[in-house]
Amino acid sequence: MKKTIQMEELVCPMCAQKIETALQKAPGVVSASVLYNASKAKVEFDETKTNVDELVKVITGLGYVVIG
Amino acid sequence: MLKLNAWIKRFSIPLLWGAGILIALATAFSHIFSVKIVADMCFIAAFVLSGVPILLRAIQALRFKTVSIELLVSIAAIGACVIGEFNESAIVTFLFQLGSFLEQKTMKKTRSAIRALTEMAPTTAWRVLENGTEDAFETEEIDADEVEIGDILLVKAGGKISSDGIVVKGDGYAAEASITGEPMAKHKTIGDTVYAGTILDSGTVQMRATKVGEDTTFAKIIALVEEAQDAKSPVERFIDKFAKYYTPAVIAIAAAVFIFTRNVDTAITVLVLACPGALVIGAPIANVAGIGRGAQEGILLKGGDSIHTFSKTDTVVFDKTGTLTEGVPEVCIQKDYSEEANQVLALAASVERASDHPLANAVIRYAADLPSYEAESVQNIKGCGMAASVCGRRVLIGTRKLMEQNGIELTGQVLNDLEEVQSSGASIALIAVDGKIETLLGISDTLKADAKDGISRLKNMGIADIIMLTGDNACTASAIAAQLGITEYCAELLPEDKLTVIRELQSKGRTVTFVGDGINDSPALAAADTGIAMGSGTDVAIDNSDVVLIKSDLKSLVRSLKLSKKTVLTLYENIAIAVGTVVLLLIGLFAGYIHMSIGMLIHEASILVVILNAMRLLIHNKKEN
Repeated sequence: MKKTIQMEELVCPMCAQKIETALQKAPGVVSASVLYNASKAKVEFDETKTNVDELVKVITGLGYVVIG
Repeated sequence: MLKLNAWIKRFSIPLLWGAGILIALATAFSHIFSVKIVADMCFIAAFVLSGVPILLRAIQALRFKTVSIELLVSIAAIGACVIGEFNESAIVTFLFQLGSFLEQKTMKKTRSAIRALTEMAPTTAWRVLENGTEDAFETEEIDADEVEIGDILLVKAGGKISSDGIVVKGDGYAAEASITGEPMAKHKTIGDTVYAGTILDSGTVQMRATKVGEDTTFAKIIALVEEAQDAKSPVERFIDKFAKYYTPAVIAIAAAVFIFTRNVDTAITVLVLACPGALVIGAPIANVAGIGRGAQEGILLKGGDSIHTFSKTDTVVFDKTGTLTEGVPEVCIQKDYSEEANQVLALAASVERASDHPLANAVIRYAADLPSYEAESVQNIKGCGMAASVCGRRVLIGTRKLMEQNGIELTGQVLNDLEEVQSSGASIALIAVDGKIETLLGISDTLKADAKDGISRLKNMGIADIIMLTGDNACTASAIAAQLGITEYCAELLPEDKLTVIRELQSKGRTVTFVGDGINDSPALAAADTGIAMGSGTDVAIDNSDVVLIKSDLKSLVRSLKLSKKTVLTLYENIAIAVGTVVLLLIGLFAGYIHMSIGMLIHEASILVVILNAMRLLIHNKKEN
């Protein structure tokens, strides 16, 4: 399943990289990429192993606010 | 540490204010009251408030094996503290934080062009429930994401259309600026396509959803633009690589300065002055602004790479149909040899209704206002035309060959006209009624209204070669080329021949832009240095091209080239500003004019200057249209 998560404005490329790496390492995630300028995370994941709430937790855990 | 991080992010603005007030207090204590110890305490407190967030970011970057600008600033500020220059540490970190804050604000503004576009995304839809009747139906409000293909949706005046679809009932005017950039609302009635993200200005329609969610044209445009902003040009990739080695190199240089001069002050000042901040941000921000500006005008530029190549174009190759011409044949010449011209035309159109040939359609459209009759014993003579009886009269419509086969005499007048119309590039349809030629029609693809103007503007912009390709015959091609002021054209080409032409030009060292209507052009679009699909948001066109022009006119082609050139110019300006600032600061330092805090001030100012410079791309200027 694919999901796009909109985050608050990302202000440094490092933030984007940090979130991307964390998502990629999260269990059940097949692939993840963060669009820096759009402040969006595109995640493809295995629904049987994880869910959107878990992914949102990964991002908020790093200190970033998820908008939608 | 994550908690501390989140806390700092939440209170970043009060922290900044706090540091600012403390610095003001400290300055007052040291200069007015001359109480150094209190002043230093205030400076140290200010340093903690703005320094800790910087240090945290530096450490985080190090975890990703990156030597960041924050690390340079952290080392410099701590170094200043060690040698007792508390005021320097406080001011440098405060300025850096203030700069980051302003950078954030201006970046947001620069990105806002696309943000504005995404905010036009529909949120809810009214689904028509199946249990109702034709006139008495019920609706329910659902989330735009829940709409499924095949759902019947109700859209009222002022409402946003939530998915792509086809109107099945009612009519109205839709404002499609979010898709096409076209300000005029378009009339939509049964059978017309409507797009998600557009607004129904007036009227009420029911539509059947054909594309939903991420498959709608609107969603695709947004996804494309968002990804384009992160797609880097060669210059940017070079800068990224450069910065990767440059930042650690600065630390090495500072260390060397310290070893040779034994002067900590100079060494840490080098760290601050050589920060590549403006350099790292200058190039991407120009692309973000350029792409955002394009998106507002229905010009989709697919990333820094595409912009860069497109701006260097010296040869533009057009696939004639659909780009320079409307792509729909129209009757453009009518010569009559009888007194009852309208009646002849009405009879001919009545015969043509039995055909679906493009030329027949042109005649039908041309005679749309005339009465239509029943045609009997219709004969379709392949490649030549048609014959039938209408109102008891024998009507033939078709080529010269058809007339000759039926033994109809071509008078000198008709032969003269034939030659004249043929040399203008038009196709011929002769109409004979009861054995006599009554009318001659010239049918050709009409030029787009702004095609000629567009071509001359491209020439003025320094495009050396403009070449027209077409599958049409040489006669038509030469007539159209002459009307447009194009000197080079290739006619009677098959799709694969177009590819060959482009390859040949490229082997001569040209940077080739190919403009097609996006249908059947994929190989040529992909082979050209820049492939431009004009006037269609079809998936294939979006995938295969570097630039997508949603509006099908030459004006937006000229505009997109201008925008690309301007974006690239801005990018180089920004690099020059960034490099120039660092060089001047370093010269100033060794000449003894520049200190750490003033250096930081100028440095942060240069970052804001490059962002503001990029923002110029977003300013609407009437002259540009």
